[in-house]
This record gives sequence, structure tokens and C-alpha cells, in this order.
Amino acid sequence: MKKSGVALLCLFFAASLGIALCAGRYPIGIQGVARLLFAWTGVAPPSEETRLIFWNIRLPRIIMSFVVGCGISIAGAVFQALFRNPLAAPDILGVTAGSCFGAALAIMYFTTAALAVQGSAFVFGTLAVTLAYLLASRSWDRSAAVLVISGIVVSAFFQAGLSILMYIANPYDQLAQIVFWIMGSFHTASWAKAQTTLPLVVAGSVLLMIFSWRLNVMTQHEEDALSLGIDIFRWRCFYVTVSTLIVAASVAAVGTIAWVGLIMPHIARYLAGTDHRRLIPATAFLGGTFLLLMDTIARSVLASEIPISIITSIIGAPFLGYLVMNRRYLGVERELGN
Amino acid sequence: MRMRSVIMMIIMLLGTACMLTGCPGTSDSKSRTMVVIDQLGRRVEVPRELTRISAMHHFGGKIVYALGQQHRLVEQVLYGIEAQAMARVDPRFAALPMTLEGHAMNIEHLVALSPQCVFVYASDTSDMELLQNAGIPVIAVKGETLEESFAAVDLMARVLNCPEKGQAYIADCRRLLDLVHDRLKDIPPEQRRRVLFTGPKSIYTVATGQMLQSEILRRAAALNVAGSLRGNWADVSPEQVASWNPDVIFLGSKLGTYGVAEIYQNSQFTSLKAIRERRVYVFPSNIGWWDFPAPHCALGVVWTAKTLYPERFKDIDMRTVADDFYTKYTGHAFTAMGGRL
Amino acid sequence: MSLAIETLSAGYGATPVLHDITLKVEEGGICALMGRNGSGKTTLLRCINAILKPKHGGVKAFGQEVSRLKRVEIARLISLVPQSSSTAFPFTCREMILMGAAARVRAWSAPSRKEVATALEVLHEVGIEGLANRPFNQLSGGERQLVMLARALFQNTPIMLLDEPNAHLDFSNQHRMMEIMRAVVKRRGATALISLHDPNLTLHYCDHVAMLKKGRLVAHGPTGAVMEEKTLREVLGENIRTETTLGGHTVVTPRGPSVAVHKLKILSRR
Repeated sequence: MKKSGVALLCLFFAASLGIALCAGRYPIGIQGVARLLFAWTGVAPPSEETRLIFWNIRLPRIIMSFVVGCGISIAGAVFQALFRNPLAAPDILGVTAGSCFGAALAIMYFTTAALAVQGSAFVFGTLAVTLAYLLASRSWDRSAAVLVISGIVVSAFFQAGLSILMYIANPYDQLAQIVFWIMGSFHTASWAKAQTTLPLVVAGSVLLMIFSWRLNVMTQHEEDALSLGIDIFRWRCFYVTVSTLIVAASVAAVGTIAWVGLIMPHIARYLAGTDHRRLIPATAFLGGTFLLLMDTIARSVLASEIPISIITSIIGAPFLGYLVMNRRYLGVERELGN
Repeated sequence: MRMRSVIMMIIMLLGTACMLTGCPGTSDSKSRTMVVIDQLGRRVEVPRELTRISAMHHFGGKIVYALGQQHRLVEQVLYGIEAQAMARVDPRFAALPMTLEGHAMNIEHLVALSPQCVFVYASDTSDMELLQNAGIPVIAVKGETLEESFAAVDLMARVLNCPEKGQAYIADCRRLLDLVHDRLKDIPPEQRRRVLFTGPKSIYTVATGQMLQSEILRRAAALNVAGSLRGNWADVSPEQVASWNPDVIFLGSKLGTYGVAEIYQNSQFTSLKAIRERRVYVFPSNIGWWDFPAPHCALGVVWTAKTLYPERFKDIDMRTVADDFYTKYTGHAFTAMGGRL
Repeated sequence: MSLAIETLSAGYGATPVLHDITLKVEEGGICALMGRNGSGKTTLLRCINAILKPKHGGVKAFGQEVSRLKRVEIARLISLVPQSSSTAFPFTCREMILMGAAARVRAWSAPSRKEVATALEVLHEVGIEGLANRPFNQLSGGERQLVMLARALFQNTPIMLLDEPNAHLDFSNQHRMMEIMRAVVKRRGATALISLHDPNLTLHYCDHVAMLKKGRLVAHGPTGAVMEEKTLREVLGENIRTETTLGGHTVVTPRGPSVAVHKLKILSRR
């Protein structure tokens, strides 16, 4: 990566982290944050209440938003590579539809435990992708395109299931809860939630970073990749599995977050180039920082929380529009003729 | 051209005025129909003798019961948990047809029951149009504030030809409100309890200043900490809740994925006064919400007042109050229907 | 025997494409694969590369049945230059060529500095060092072919399959590619199987030739022996003839009148 790119990323991260630590509906301020962070040096910490709010509410939320941002952005980059499609998003194989269905199912039939909702969303998210994979494997055509179509089929199926659940849900309680869940948010971020989500997301992201160079070959046509010595079908299974676990864990914890997984790899490509060896870490860092910043806006600008997907969409969608108009970094093939 | 349109307008205005004066709210008693102005200001002509009525929202439905006119209903007009509670104690209710399918009314089914008049909640404009197109008179009612809901009771009582029952119902509700007011009026503003009223979605969804919940709290000498917010149920961050630091938290629904125990254990709320003092309560809602538009929210006001200032209501037994009220205005006691406080 | 194809039949779904092909390709040297469109050249290459599973028979590379080998093992024996290529993302040519090291690089690793240096050498060998940092997708079809050739060379396998590598190349680059192949075959002792449409290139550069017609092998042997007018007419089309130039080269031309040939004849009469 260009040195300027690294410097830019680091600066962006440092600025975002600083803002995220100090901003919030509960006034702590730069001084307060500094006293909290350096309490171990013997500085007098602010009030106990401030300490509790900082450590139990703000910090887990900052960590969650950064790590989830990393995870879904990496997954986006990986899916774009696997499907050779710059417009692929992490939910292309139905993980989001599956998770939403799972969450709705839990909300309606096992309402008591919050963990049940998260667990059910995770299980159904991975189940959806497994189904898409099994469906695709029944076809004689082993190309990625068939997998995408299977993903569409499974997504449609689970969306229908979700609609049925929403149809029979009690409109005043359950329906509202389902909608609230689907909208996605980091409200509920806590250390307990971080403990159930982060290990999977972090481990998966690290694994994908380690096996990142191979993704270059995965972007080649199937026949070419096979000729280069990559068993593309087995490796596709590996990458899909790891990415799906990341996305399912993220979606199960914070609901659906629009656009991040689609947009971040494109900006990262602009900064770091196409080689996945550099692209994957750059995407992770950029995606994490972006979501951290967006969530800071979501939680601190207004007294009522702004749904995170609204912010990511408002900023993400025009950016994609810009990319479409300036097709350079979309990687859309440009025929220059012979 | 312009001259002509001005004249046309004047003629039309005059015509309208004539119609208005010519057909007053309660026209001559010999006519078989009467004209009423509903809560959207619409003029509706309905038969005087109504034997088949319906309501497309349980707001109207509940008032029909409160007026003792349920024998005129062509279908169940209570829904969800309220309907289930009623069906448990009232076989006649259980036997009535139900036109609600999922979240939408099956209009054809309703039309097939040939009601002479349907009460629709004022915000359901699309249903209103459908029914009107089917030739069924529609009366819009609403109750976003208690006063508005009393106006709805008055209107419905006149349409159903039982104005004295409406007055009695309103008077009973006012008696409860006045009781609370009398006992709490001396509390100075700075000593009023600061309450967070959370919604059916989640603990992070709070009632805004524009909602009935704010009025219920105000009438019970309490302050909605989220009173400055606008709109319907607003999502807020846990930090915002922490900075409000309410004295008491009301959970607006019992069916939530959260409950009192879970909120006490939630690490995000450990700094709150309400949590430290263990003052989190479930607003009564297991057989119908006491914070949902309808005059029976007066019960919600009494419950709120007693919960927040128990020392001032030692002589009031909430269960008895609820049982009396329900017996009088639904036909069955609150506890008999399975209601829990 | 580097490559032995034995009683091979193959096809797609219910459509048979290749019928009972038995062909042995001698080690070292270039073997041309000729035949009209749809005669099964690409399908044969696919079978050799174990992309397509034969319905009957099999392919042995250095005595090993390729369909029983792992992909990485095949990639150490056989490389492929595809008919045309594009990528969904704007990889630079350097990145494209480095992918040739996939069979040597461990899954959790990336090509070493040494590999990168070798890749640059190959770029020089093919004469496209100027393209190293250009995005592959912005290149012309011919330049892409050269990059894909460089990638196959970088893969460094004893057997190379080239599927109409000249399709997008200009006249001079067509010859350059064939000359590179000759040099590589000579230096590495590699075997190249190249599907070609231009009989003149075959005559000029290939040691052997195999002729396919409607999925059957109709002729096979040293170029000089096979490239007779009769066989060419049978395989490539009726309107073909061969003649010998003043310099003693055999050339294949269309049969119809041609301005250039007329002039040539007039000249030769004098």
C-alpha cells in the first residue's frame, strides 16, 4: 500500500476513536475521558457514575462497532472476490434473511431470553447459507453464479418466512420488536454481548487475513484458477464458511447493517490496490473505523437514536453512485480494443 | 372567466352553508337517519336505529362495551390479548365472527356481515375509504388524549342512542382522575417523580412527549424524562437513558423480550437511580394496555399514582378499583378475565 | 512419454464431443492441435487439464492418471493459457503473473521476494516488462494473451497447454509468441500442446501436429508428414492448397485466385 494510504487510514482511525470516546449523550468530555483512561497512573477519576457509563456502555459499544465493521467489510470483500462481482454484499447467500427469520422466530416463541434471539439468528443465518450451498451443489454447474442464484432462492424463502411470522405476530409487541431487531443497532452492546460475538468475528477475520493472498486466485475464472492449482470448490467452501460465520455472528448481535460490507472494499481498493494481501487488512481497518464513526453519529447527535442503517445508507449509497459513474474502481471491465 | 369562478365559489359556499344549517347534528326526530360530525370533522349520515355495528380498532370496540351496546356488534371488535381474555369469559363474544386476518381487516368479510355503521380509528384512512366505497357509513373516532377519548365516547353514545350511558362512563373516568389529582396536587414540581416509560419494542424505546403516556404521567404528578422528544416511540441510546437518570422505569409491555429481572442485571443500567432503588415496574397490560388510547387509561393514571406515591393511596386497592371498573364497563371483573397488575 | 491420451471420449451432458481419441505427445517440442471450429480442440485440452471428466478413457501425464491427481499436483505438471481472459477486479499484470506461483505457495502465505524477482524475469522474457504495473483489464486482447503466456511460463510446468493463444495477437506478436514457445521448449525441455488455426504457423514452428475432425483424431504425426494438401483439405476445408515458396517453405493458401499469388507466379516464370 502507498505510504500515504497507510498514514491516511491511521489518521482517520485515530480521529474517529478520539471522537467516539468523547462524544455521547452522557457528557463526559475530553478531560473526563482522559482521567478515566489514565486512572491507573493515580489521576483522580471522575464520579463512579461516569466511570460505570464509560466502561459499561460507551466502551463496549465502541469496540463492538469497530469489530463488527471490520468483520462485515472483510466478508464483503471476500464475497466480492469469490463471486467475481464488485457488487456482491455479505448477505448475497441469504445469511441476513436467515438471521432475521431466526430472530423473529425467537422473539415470537422464546421471548424470555435475549440470548435466545441472538442464538437463533446466528443458527438460522448459517443454516440459510448451508441450504444455499446444498442447493447449488445439486446442480451439475459448479460455477459461482449458481451459488448466487441459490442464495437468492434461499433469501426469498426466508424472507417469505419472515413475512409470515410478521403477519401472525402480535402487532403491538412482537411485530414492533421484530422490526426493531431487523433495523439493527448497537444499543444493546455490552460486555456480555461482546463476549459472545467478538471471538468468532475476530477469529474469522484473522483467518481470512492469513489466507488472503489465495483470494487473488479465487477471483480468476474457475478454469484458470483450477489450472493454477487451486481447488476452487474446496476453497470456496472454506471462504464462504468463515465469512458466513462472521456475518451471522455480527447480524445476530446487532441486526442488519446496510451498505458497509458493499462499500468498504471499494474504498479500500482505491487506497490499497487489488491485491487481497493488502486489500483485506485495509478493508477491515477502514470498515471498522467507518462503522465506529457512523455509530458515534447515531448515538450522539440527537436525543433519540438514529438507526445505524439510515446513516450508513445516506453516506454509502451516494458513494456507490459516485463509483458507478466513475467506473474505475468498480473494476468493471473496460474494453479498449486491440 | 375569473368573475365566473368567484360567483361559482360563492354559490357553492352558500349551498354548503344551507346544507349545514338545514340539517343540524340531530335533525328532526321523524327522520329515519341522523347526521353526525365525526372527530375528523366529517359529516356522516347514519340510521337512527342501529342494530348491526362494527368497529375496526379496539379503541372503538372497547367503548361499545363500555356503553353496554355489545349486543349490536356483528363481529368481535376486540383484538389480540384483549379478545383472548374476553373469549375466555364470554362465550357469546367467542362465537362472533372475526374479520381481522393477520394485521389487515378482511374488508369483504366485514361488508358481508352488512353492518349499518362502522367506527374507524381516525388514522386508518385507507380502511375508511374502502368501507365508504362499499356504501357503509364510517365514523372516525380517536383518543390521543383523555379528553379526546371522552369526546369519542360522547359521539358514540349519541350515535348508539344511549347518551346517558356515555355521560356515566365519562363521569366515572373523571372521578378516578379527580381522585388522583386531589391527592397529588400539593406535590411541588421539583418533587415529582421522573419516569422513563419504555415501549413494547425494547427497553431503549421510550414514550415521547407527544404520546398519551406523557399525559398519564402528568396526571399522576410525574414527569416523562423523554418529554422533549417528538413523534411516536423513540429509540434512544443507553447513554441517553443514563444522562436522564430516571427515578422510576415503567415497562410498557409484559410481552417483551426483556423483563424486570433482566433490566436489573443489565450492566448498561447499573448507574441508574431507578435500578439502584429497584424501581422498575411493568405497566399493567396482560389483558389489554392501560396506556393505549381509550378512556380506561384512567385506570393507568390511578395505577401510576399509587405506584409512584404509595403512601398517599394506602386506602386504595388497585385490584378492587380495576375489578369494579371492568365489571361495569366490560361486563366481567378484571381478575375474572385473567388480568394481572 | 510426457502426455498420453488413451481411448478418450468426452462431452457435455448428453452431447458427445470427443470420440475415442488416442494420442501420445512426445516429450519436448511443440505439438499443434488443429481442427475447424467446434471440432473439439478446447474440450480435449480441458480433458488433459482434468477440468472436464472424460466419459471414457483417460489422460496420463508422465505415467500418472491426471484425474486422480490433486489440483495442486496437476498445476505442477500442466499450465494453461486460456483462449481469452478478463478479471472482475483491476489487478496489475504483475499481480496476475504472480498468481502463477499458487501451486508453490503455501495457502497461508504469499509469493516470496524470490518469486517476485522470477516473475519480473519472465516479464522480460516475454518482452512485456512495460506492462508490469498496468491494470490487466485495460490491456488489449493481445497484450492480455502475452500476460497469460507469462503467467503460464512463471508457473513453470513441464507441460503447457495453449488454447488458441494467437487469437488476439497482431502478426508480429503471433510470431513472437511462437518463437518464445520454441525457445522455452528448447531450454526447459517442456512439451507444449497448442491449438492453432493458422496452418502456416503450424508448419513454421511445430514439431508435431494432431488433426481433429468432428471430435475424432484423423491424423497425427510429425508436421512435415501430416501437413499434406489432402489431409488439410479433409480437416480444414475444401478450399485449401499448399505450395512451396521460392525460399523452399511450404505455405497454405486459399484456393481461389489471389493477386499476390498471380504476381508471384509471373515472377517465378521469368
